[in-house]
Amino acid sequence: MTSHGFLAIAVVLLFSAVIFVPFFKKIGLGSILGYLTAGVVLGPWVLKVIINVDDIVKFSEFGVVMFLFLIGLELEPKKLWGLRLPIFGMGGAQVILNSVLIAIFAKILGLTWPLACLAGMGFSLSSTAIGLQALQERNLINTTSGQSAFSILLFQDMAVIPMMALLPLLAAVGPLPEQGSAVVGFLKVMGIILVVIFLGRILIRPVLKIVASSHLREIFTALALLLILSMAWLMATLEISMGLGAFIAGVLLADSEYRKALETDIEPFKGLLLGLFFMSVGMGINFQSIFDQPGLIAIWLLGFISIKIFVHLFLAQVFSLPKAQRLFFSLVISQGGEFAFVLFGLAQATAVISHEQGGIWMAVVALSMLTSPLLNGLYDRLLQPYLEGRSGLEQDKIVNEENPVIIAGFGRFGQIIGRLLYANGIRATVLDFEPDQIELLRKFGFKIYYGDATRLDLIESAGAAKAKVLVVAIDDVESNLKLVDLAQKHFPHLKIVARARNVQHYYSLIDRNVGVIERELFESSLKMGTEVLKLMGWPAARAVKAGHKFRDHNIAMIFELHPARSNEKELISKAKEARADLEKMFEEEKQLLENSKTGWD
Amino acid sequence: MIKKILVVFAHPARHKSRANRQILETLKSIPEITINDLYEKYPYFHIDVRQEQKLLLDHDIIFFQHPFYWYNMPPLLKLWFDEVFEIGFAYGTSGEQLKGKDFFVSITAGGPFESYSPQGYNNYSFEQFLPAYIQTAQLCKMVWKEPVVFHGVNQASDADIKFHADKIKNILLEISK
Repeated sequence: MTSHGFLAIAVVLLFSAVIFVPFFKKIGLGSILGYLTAGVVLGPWVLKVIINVDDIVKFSEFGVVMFLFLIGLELEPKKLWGLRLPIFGMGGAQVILNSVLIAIFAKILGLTWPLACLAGMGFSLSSTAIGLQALQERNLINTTSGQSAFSILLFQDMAVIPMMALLPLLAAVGPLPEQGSAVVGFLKVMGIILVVIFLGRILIRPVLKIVASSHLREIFTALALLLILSMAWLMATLEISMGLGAFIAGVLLADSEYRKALETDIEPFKGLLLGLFFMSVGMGINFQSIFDQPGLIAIWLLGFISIKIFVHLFLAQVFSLPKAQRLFFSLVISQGGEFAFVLFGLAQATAVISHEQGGIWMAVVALSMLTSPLLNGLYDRLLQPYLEGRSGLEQDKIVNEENPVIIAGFGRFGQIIGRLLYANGIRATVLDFEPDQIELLRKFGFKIYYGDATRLDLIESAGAAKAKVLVVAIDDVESNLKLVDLAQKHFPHLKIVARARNVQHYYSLIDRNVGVIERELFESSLKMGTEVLKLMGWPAARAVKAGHKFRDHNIAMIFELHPARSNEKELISKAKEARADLEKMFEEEKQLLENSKTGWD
Repeated sequence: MIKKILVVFAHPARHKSRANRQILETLKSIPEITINDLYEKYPYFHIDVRQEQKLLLDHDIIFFQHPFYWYNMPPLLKLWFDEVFEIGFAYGTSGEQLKGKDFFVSITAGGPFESYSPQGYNNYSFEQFLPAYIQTAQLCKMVWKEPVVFHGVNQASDADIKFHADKIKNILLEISK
């Protein structure tokens, strides 16, 4: 490939991403489907712009690797340890049940037992990239079902190792494997992981510290990439999943002070490469085998997805996931995954299966990755509103009166508001993806609606037309503002009380004329600062007064700086502005030292 | 000490005060005296009424120490009276729980002694500003003690202040016997 050729390919890929993805997002089908479709269009079966898909696949796999690194960053070791039951319990059950049922299904389709088993294992695996992306897009990753899906995906990452070790066992001909090679392989992996964790804890942080103290931003980024890629490389040479390696690297750094910096640095790489990965999946769909045997492919596709959905629903029941989330949980990891390509590819290469069989299976997996976003979209539009409508009716039977307050977002922030209201005899309706202690809250007379609070029908059924106050306690800035816009447009009578994540968010809420805005950490930080003044020997009353004065001054500053900040479209200069604002605030706050001369003695 | 002393201290800006701070420090040096520094305890003006009532019940002499400003007590002390001296506790048929306790007021005033007279700029004698205190004590059947007033505190020397603080200490030690 000449350098011009490389440029041309890069231009074509980026161009189609820029065209397709926003379009698919706009029409509500989500970005994944956009990327996949772009891949199909560019690929060898439609426009034939890109023929050599393998090169791109190899490169784009790093998107998944980085994705897992970022997921790891969010999971402190302690939190991960807390997930051990879902990972091994649910993950194990998911892989085993699916493998067995799909193997039986394959046997019914006339395959020999060894091949049926291979199919079972391969199709039991789900797509980390699609599953996690779908969860993230819907802000569901931290819900119980999101964590369960994630745990299963994580287990699959580990399970693929013994599966590959089992391959020779399934080969009709070929050398007999050593006894217990799967177990040995698994133990080997565990051992290596432990060594890596141990070394990582000792080595990575000091190195990060040295590099960070050099204040060379690009070198820090380089180090982050080096870290991920070397981890992935190490794992790859040991024939372990690269993603797993990157994930471990992420977990190792999850509680370090560089977490945010690493996140910001890697995020754009992950985004683009993951997009590229989806495109390469689209390109890789073998339309030849689809056109040759459309019936067979459809049976496989329908068969394995139905089995998986069924198994997941069963698991959701057994592990008692919140009822409202069960169906989405079942759908979101129902597709085939990246590792199926690897496993079937390896089986092909080692002549365990024929090229024809491999082609069919891989086409089925790729198609399932294409249909998965469609299924999710279908769920968003049709099933979810229906299910919620039902649970809404159920609720109405319990409580008839319309509550005067709606609280959107019932995490730590919203809960305190709700409890204060409850303690004072004011009933509230709660909107959240996953309110903690649902039954408990219901018992105390809260009305609860699950789901995305930024959907008009949901806030409508929550009684927005008759409520007086809407508390927007959602932490995600985008959803927070979206709900404010929606409420102002459709329910102008509602008094809005909004939680602001930071000053920039505060400005956006001022732009919308929101009456009451409270920064989520401002008051408690101020209170703690006051306590520090007291510990410095200040009389309590003086410390409190200083805190009050600081608050007044700070809020006045925000309103003073706001007019210059009203252009929300300018995303790029935002960070710069925030810094300038902060500088101005520091300068002004220097003048705050009290100098009044009152006459108390 | 036979009688137990509770010092109810109220100063909104202790760091700016010389006299009240000196008095407070002097009284703190007597371990048997309970100091109840209201502005230190309730800077957010949220008073724990039950705790304050218990403190009152546990003591025999209630000694109020505060500066005089706009001819009155500091706002937190007023709020303290409003909330702690409840009906049924401090007064009323079912509550006379403060009955017989000493009500002893000590005030620092910026204006000199002469200003508190028909000829001075404060127009009234100092006693003429005290009926609200006196009647509070009477309604609660408490024993009104002759107040200690420190006039002209802004002009007072450090030695004057020290002298006054010691005087208060000695009076308290005397009446608690």
